[in-house]
Formats: sequence, C-alpha cells, structure tokens
Amino acid sequence: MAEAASSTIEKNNLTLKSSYGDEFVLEESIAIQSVTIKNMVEDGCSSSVIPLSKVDTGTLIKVIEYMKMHSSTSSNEEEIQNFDKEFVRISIKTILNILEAANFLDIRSLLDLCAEAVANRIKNKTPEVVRKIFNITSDFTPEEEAEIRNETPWAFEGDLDHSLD
Amino acid sequence: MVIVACIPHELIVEILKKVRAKSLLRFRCVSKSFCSRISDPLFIEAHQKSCVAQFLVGCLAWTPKDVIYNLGQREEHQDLAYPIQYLDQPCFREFNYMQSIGGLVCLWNNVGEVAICNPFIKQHVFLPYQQPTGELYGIMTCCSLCVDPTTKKHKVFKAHLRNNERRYWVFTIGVDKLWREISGCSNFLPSNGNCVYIDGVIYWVHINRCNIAAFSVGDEKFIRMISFPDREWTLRFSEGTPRIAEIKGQVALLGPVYFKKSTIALYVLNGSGETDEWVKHIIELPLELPKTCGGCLCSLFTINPKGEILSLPDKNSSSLFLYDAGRKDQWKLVEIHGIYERKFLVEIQITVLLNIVDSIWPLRLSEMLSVGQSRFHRNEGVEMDVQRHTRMDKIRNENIRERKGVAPLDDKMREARLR
Repeated sequence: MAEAASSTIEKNNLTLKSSYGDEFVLEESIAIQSVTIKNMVEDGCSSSVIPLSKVDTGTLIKVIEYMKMHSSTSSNEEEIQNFDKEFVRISIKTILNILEAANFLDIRSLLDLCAEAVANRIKNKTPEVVRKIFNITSDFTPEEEAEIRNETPWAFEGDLDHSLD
Repeated sequence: MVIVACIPHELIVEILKKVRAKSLLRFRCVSKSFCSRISDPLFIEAHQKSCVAQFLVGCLAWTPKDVIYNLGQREEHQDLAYPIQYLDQPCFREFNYMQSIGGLVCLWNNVGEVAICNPFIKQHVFLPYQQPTGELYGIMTCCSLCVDPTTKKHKVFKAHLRNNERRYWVFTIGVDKLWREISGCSNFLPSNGNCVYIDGVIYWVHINRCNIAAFSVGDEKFIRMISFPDREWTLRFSEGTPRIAEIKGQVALLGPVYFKKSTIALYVLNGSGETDEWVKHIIELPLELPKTCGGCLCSLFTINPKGEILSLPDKNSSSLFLYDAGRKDQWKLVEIHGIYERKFLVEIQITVLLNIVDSIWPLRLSEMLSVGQSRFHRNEGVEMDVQRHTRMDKIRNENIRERKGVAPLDDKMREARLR
C-alpha cells in the first residue's frame, strides 16, 4: 500500500540537478513552467534526473522558489506582485544569473521580470559602470566617444549613479 | 568589483528593450556593439512595443491651461516631464494641434505649419512650409501622422480646406524633400484631430456629415466611406460629435446618447469592407461624474490603446475613471498624477482631451537630419515679444526678420550649406 502511494508521487515528481551536483525534487506540474523541461518531459526523459549543467545551485534555488510561487493556486494577484518585487531585491549579478537560467529553461515571465529589474537598476548608471557590469571593454577611441556624448549632452546630465550595484 | 561572465547578446537586447530612451542615448557610448544594437531599426521597433509612456493632456474649455497627466505609472513623474517640457518650447507655441503615433508627435496649426517631434530624444524638424495662396483667414489644416505598413516610414497626411477649395498632401519623413499632392480625394472634409490610424489605414470623421472616410497609407488614396450607425448622431452639435477611436483593432465611435445624460454609446465596427456592421454598447456613466457636463460629455472621454475608455471628471481631480469595454466591468477609479502644466497661447483651443501615447526611439538621428528644406521657423533666434503677433496678423517672415535684425532666410540657408 505504502509503496504504491510513494510510486504515484514519484511519477509526478521530477529531479533537477544543478551544475554543482545538488539535486532538487519538484512536482512536474510546477517544473513544466519551464518550456525546456516541458519538452524533455514530453520526450520521455522524466524518469531520470534532469541535469541542468548551466544552472548553479544558488540560482536554481531561486528559480524553483519563483516557479513554486507562480504555480500556486492559493496566491492572489497582489501577493504575486509583491513576491516579484521582493524577488528581484538582490544583487545585479544574481539577477543576471537568474536571467540566464530563465533563458536556458525558457521561462518567459521570469525572463521578463529579470530583464525589467536589470533595466531599472541600470537606467541611471554611467556608461563606465554599465561596461563593468556587463564586463565589456570599450572599443571606441576617446574622440569617437566624445562625439556621441556631444550629440546628446543632456542625456549625460543629472544625477548619475556611479555604484556598481 | 562585480565581474559577470559575458551575457549572451540576445539577453542584453532583452534588457535594453526595457530601458528608457534617455538612458539608451547614454548607453550608446558603452561600446560599438551596444551602439549598433541600439541604432538597429528592428531593435527600435521592439523597444517601442515594450517601452510605452502614456500621457493625457486634459483641459476643460475656457481655461488657459492644459494639465498633462502621466498614465504610465512606471516611474517617478519628474523624470517623465521632460518630453512634455520639450513640447512646450517657444518654437511650438503656435502649433495648437497635436497627435502622436509610433513614438513621434505631429504638431500643426491651421495655416499649415507642421512640426514633427520626438520629445523623448529631444529632436524635432519643421516640415517644408507651403504658403497658401490668397488670404490666410478661413483656412483650415488637418494633419495625421501615420506609418506606412510596408516601408515602416512615417508619413504625414495633410488636408488644406478653405471654402470650396480642398487640397491634400503627403510627406514621407526621411525620404521626401517636398510635399506631394494627391488627387482623387473627392470632396472630403476631415475634422481636425478626430481620426484614428489602424493597420495602415487612417479613418477620419467627416465634418458635418454622418460618415467616416478611410485612407490607405500605403497606396496613398481613399478607399471607402463608412456610414455612421443608423439614425445615430444625425443632429450635429459640435459637442455632440462622436469621437473616433480604436478598440482592439476595430474602428469605434464614442458619443453621447441624446436626451440621456447618464449614458454614452459606444459603437464598434465589426468585419471589414462590404460586410461590416456596427455593434452597439450602451455604457452607464459612473454616478460620481458631474452631471453638469451634460451635452459635452463625450469631449471628456478618450480611448486608450488597450481599448479602455478614460474619463477625466475635472481638471483639478487627481483621479480618472477607466472602463474596459471588452470586459464590461464597472468603472474603475484610477489615481493619476499631473506632471506638467502648459499654458497655451492660442486663442481658440479645440482639443479637450488628448491621449498621447509615446513609445521611444522611433527615428534615427540620420533620418531626422535628412529631412530637407526644413523651414526656418519664424521665431528662431527672434525674441519672445514678436509672438504677440499671431499667424492671423499675416506678417511676412522677411519683415519680422528685418525688424529684429535676424539674417534673412536665404543667407541663413546659404550659410548652412557652406558649413
């Protein structure tokens, strides 16, 4: 009896494995918010552990937290909005990691949420800081850069944010 | 030090799509790839869709001010006021009509001066001015900004009306050097500001008649006339004219129900071409709405791009009523913020409620600059007191320039060419 019950639960559960090798058991109905996982389940890979080699443990914990909240039927619109607001109150680096994971797992709503959050965080930043955040080295000569600045000097005025986070 | 491994390009685009134009202008100097991505027309189009700022310009009749409200509620209002401030520059003071499509704002006046403006990136051009022949008195100009569905270029349609003379012109922004006259428009009299652009077609409400003219932007010709719903709005008081709008891709007319002050009627045109029919909705107004508005009720209404009817109870109110025609819910009360007040210097102000929906980054710098022969506006470099003379004073440009000691136009143009 007990064995039968546990096997039915197992049927509906998926095991996700992070890049660090940590395993997380999740209900299939929750996990299939990710189109990537949904496709895998439909292709019949659900019996074994799903390896997510591109997602580290910390990021996966956040993604699972998000998927659980968004699949729960008991939470109303307002609760979800507040959850989303709190969810992105983390460092830009972490949001970018989640953004990449959301892209890999193909969870559109999470991708939008993270992109919006990053956009809000960088909107008042200087180009120098944006370069550091995205790990970009400028390939402009100082003259070329000055030319762009001179086209719209007003866009460089005002209270610009020099912090990295 | 934050070091993030290289983010894939498509994700950077996802982020940039949600950044406002002012910040994008700044981020162009991050790197060459950022700059080219931000200037890519496909990016600009996608960005327009995900970055919509919405304003409402409201004024009640006979007050000397407009109040501009921010309906976007995305950001703090101080930051959003700058595009509106840009539109309030002295050089636009004589342009009393305003319309916005695809991120650009078209400003014009009855004499036929037209300015195209992207207030979000602080750029504007004056389109070539065509001096109307004969008296300026009694002339009326109607303009509509639209987007060519195939080339994606912005076009301006302009109608000059005077007594029995009607002429129609088109100007493609970034392509044309001069207005091109179009014929075959028969006897069509568009009413100013009462038009809507849907999927490559402009629909105009006809002055003093019970029909709508449809103009195809791609082919640059009139395609059909659509009659008003049967027996509706046949008596035409100026306040009783229904407003044309878009509801979920369909043409809609919103107007008063005669002799019933607590309701308005909304008609939505279903189908297209031969088979279309008007579907009628009667909408009860919220009780809180002042009944004194009476007959001019519909001038207090406008429809936003989501297909919701907005109603501003009065100028000093910090809330408006919102009605979703699709869901047929109750009216919702929404808090709004006045972000800017604009004094208008024109004596006759017809616009009562204007819904400016602006996306950003519609035109590249190069396109803006390629508009040829922009007319040097009369007030450029001329002090403010000249503005006492309105257009109706019929003072020639040359005279003013002479009087104020500003170089004549020819000289200025030559100078610009030599640069």
